[in-house]
Amino acid sequence: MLEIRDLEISFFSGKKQTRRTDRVSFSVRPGEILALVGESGCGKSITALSILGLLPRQGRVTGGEILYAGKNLTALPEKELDEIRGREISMIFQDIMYSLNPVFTVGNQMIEGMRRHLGYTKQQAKEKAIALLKRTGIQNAEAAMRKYPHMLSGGMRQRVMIAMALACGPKILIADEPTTALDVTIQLQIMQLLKSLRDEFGMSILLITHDIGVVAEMADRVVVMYAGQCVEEADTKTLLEQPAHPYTQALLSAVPGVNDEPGRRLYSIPGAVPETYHQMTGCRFAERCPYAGNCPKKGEMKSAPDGRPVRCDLAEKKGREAHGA
Amino acid sequence: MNSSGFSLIMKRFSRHKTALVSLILLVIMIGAAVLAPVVAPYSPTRPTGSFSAPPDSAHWLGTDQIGRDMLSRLLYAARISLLVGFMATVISTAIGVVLGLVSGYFGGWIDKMIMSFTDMVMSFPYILLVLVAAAIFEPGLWSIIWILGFVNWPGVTRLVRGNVLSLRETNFVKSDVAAGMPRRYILFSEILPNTVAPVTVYATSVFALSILDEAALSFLGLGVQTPTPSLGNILNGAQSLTILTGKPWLWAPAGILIILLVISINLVGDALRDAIDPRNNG
Repeated sequence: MLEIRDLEISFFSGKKQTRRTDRVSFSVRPGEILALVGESGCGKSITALSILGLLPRQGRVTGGEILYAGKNLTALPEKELDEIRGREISMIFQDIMYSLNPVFTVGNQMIEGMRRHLGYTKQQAKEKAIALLKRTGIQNAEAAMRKYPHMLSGGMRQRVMIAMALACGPKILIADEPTTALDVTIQLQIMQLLKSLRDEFGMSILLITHDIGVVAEMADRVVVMYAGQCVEEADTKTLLEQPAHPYTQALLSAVPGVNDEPGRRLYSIPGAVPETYHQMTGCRFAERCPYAGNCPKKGEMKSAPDGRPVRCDLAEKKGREAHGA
Repeated sequence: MNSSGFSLIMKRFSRHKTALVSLILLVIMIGAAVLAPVVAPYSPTRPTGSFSAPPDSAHWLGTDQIGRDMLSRLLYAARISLLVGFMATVISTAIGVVLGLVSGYFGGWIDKMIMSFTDMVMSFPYILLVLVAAAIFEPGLWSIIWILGFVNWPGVTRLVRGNVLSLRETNFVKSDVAAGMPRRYILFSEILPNTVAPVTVYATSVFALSILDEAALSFLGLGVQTPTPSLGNILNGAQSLTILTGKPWLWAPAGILIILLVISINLVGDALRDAIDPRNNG
């Protein structure tokens, strides 16, 4: 449905070019929730932004393609991209502080948007806006329409954002860390909301997150990113039970569990994401990898024993056992 | 902005007592100036009494050197000075906002070009620029308005550009782009309203500054020309020492009026800044 193929995004400062993602490939299938997981700075957010052409000024897609409905979005002129934005693919963001225009009421911005985009009359737009707000779980939708963003709680604002993103009935919703700025209880509510909306509207969701808990709760499939590369792709169950890449394994053991024996020290991955990862050749995780000892460290895509792609030279031969998990 | 936002601003504004007094003063002064043809007792340009007569019951503020009523002249002068200040502010705000929006939103070489031009105008010795311009163009009401309008916009441009730069990174602007909204809509319907508050505050100081500049230029004889009265050219008549020491009714009221106008406008502007600031709650 949406296919990202060998995507390379570079940032430019002056003449200096920094490759922030390296041959990122994955696809979003109809009706699924695909999670893109990784640490901060691994390139997951810019990958998401590039889909709708929202990269910051310094950033540019320098290789690969993003295919949607037979069109390469990276090569599409702005005007045609605008046809897809919002209507076919829409997006919600992490920061809830400034995701709504502070000088207009909620109703105002929703109605204006729909009149522009769908050619609704004021009354039609208003009815649709109230219906959408109700659907996203805002109890007193009529009252919320008259409020300014600063009068709403974070959870409410995110609900309004979701309602706005759904206005044109998109086929794909990109959610860039939609719950990171929210309380845990509200996080769960928003997650459940997104999931039920997916079921109701039959859309796909591309979920960007660093939270394995959110992945376990929400996603059908997972793509793990590390230092600008995809390192592993699997359905959620397989990934959680049999992580093939040492980075994924490390991520999972860094999650505290209720069943942990008391006094277990929380695992943390030694070292940090190398800052100059774009200049590295070979395996980018090698420095932090516990199995780096007798590994060729080429960092090429291999197949795990069950056939799924893993960027680990040891994956093919020995599988998970070799890594000892 | 709808009624609830407006009433909130009024509530916060009215907590500044000095600003409230200033606002009332300002309304009275502007009212008197606008209604000058109605409230002025005499014509501002025709002699109606004896020369340089001190205040009496017929001429409350006395008469000037050629027998014109000072109160009437002052009312008309305030009208002219306020008009100059207001129009100059409108012109510089309009130029500043448009250039700032374009510069901040589009960036790249457009931004570089506009900003270097802005810096150029800003780095020019201000009073010299005004003097040269006043010397080149025929002195008069409209040339002084255009000149002051053209020297005060760079501040507005920088203010708006800075605002736009931070606004274009906010998620509501990104959401608009992600929703496929036209650029024109984003720029004028989403970003522009967010700059209204700071621009309004800044404009009040441009207003006060323009009134002062008009007074200075007219005082030097390069601004509004007699017989049209302005606060500056009334002061211009008070350049001689005998008038300065012996006939204060010829210059003191105009001076006081300038001070009152400028202080009131600035105080109102300050209170406005506090009242509009969204971080200022309750």
